[in-house]
Amino acid sequence: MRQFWILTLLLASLQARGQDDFGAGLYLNADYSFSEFDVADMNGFVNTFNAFWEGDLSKPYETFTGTEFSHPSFGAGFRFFTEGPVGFSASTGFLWGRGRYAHQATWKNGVVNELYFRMRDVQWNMTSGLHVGGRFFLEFTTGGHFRKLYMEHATIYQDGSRSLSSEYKLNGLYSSLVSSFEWGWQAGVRFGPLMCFARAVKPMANFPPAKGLVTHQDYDASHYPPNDFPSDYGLYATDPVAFAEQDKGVKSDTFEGPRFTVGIEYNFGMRNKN
Amino acid sequence: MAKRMMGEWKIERSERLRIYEDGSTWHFEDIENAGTLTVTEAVPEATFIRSYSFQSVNFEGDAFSLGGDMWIDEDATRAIWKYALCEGLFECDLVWTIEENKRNKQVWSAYGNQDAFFWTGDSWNAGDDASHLKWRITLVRE
Repeated sequence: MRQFWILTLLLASLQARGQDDFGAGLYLNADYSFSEFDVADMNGFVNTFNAFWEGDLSKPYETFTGTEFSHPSFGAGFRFFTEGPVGFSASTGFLWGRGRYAHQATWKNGVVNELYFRMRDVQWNMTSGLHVGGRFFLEFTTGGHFRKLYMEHATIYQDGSRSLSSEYKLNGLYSSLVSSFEWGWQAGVRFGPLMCFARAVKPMANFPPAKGLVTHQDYDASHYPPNDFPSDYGLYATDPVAFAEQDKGVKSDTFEGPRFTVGIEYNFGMRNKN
Repeated sequence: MAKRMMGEWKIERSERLRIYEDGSTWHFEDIENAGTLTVTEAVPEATFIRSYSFQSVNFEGDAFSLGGDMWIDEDATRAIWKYALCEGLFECDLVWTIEENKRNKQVWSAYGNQDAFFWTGDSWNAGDDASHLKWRITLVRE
């Protein structure tokens, strides 16, 4: 914590010393990301589950659109820019956000199966580019996006009781860490200390290369294997050996994808400009 | 979140009930002051492993006890009592769903399908069962 305040004082003094030639300072920002994930695995589950229990469901799962995990984020960072009619601009910062989403199917007796997603995102990004007149900014952006994803498979009974216990095979808590490196472009318009921006990024393909599965967190002993959430429910239910051999679990990297973000940035280093 | 579970608890109420298709419930067991639950550190470096000791009574007044390792996830959505039901490798854990997690009050529930309590981990079709079982304990700080 002490280092944070020392860094804050240093950055504030940097802004004060250099304001004739350049500006620099901390910023706070807030944004909303319209994200899209790869629905192939989750819709594989939805389609095979609905087909397997076709005669027993009064309301099957709806397919995922891929936009379910859009959510707001808040953050802070540091921006540097040179003065002049055309100048250089760069920034780095962190963002924190969280999202929740529920997806349900109903059995004919009124019992509900619920997929409830909880995610916590941490983003780190760097931008660099040009500005025109200190008002219009266009920057290349890159950074890391780390998502802790929890998926609860719950059974909701007719009296409203919601169970995460082990009485049904799919029930329980699944988790995965989704990490991706992203690149894209950011454009902004500045009004005094305030900048409105839009950013479009996409993850780098197969980087980082090690991808995981969305895995059951029952510490191995509550159920017989397999413990990975299935993308092919029929195989999972009828032939668990083939399920494992064919690697039909939902992959964590399907939960990353392109994002379009709009937001605002309040920049303390730009407070006195024009 | 998991830290709130630590310490000595009084089982203020222990209810076992059956949930029917129309949403009605039948309490076939409802005991006040049903015993104690103690949750302690298992090993200092283990973030999500605790030890528990559960002393309770059934509706006939007979005492019973359970104890051992307890696993808690990061957000304390569930508490898993390892090998509480049997000694086998699979389907021997008692998995509690944490309904309320406050410093001075906790409500935990475990569930079963139509015919058996708790250990039917290979059940697949929730639409098949005409009723379901629930065991709910309400804990207050001693």
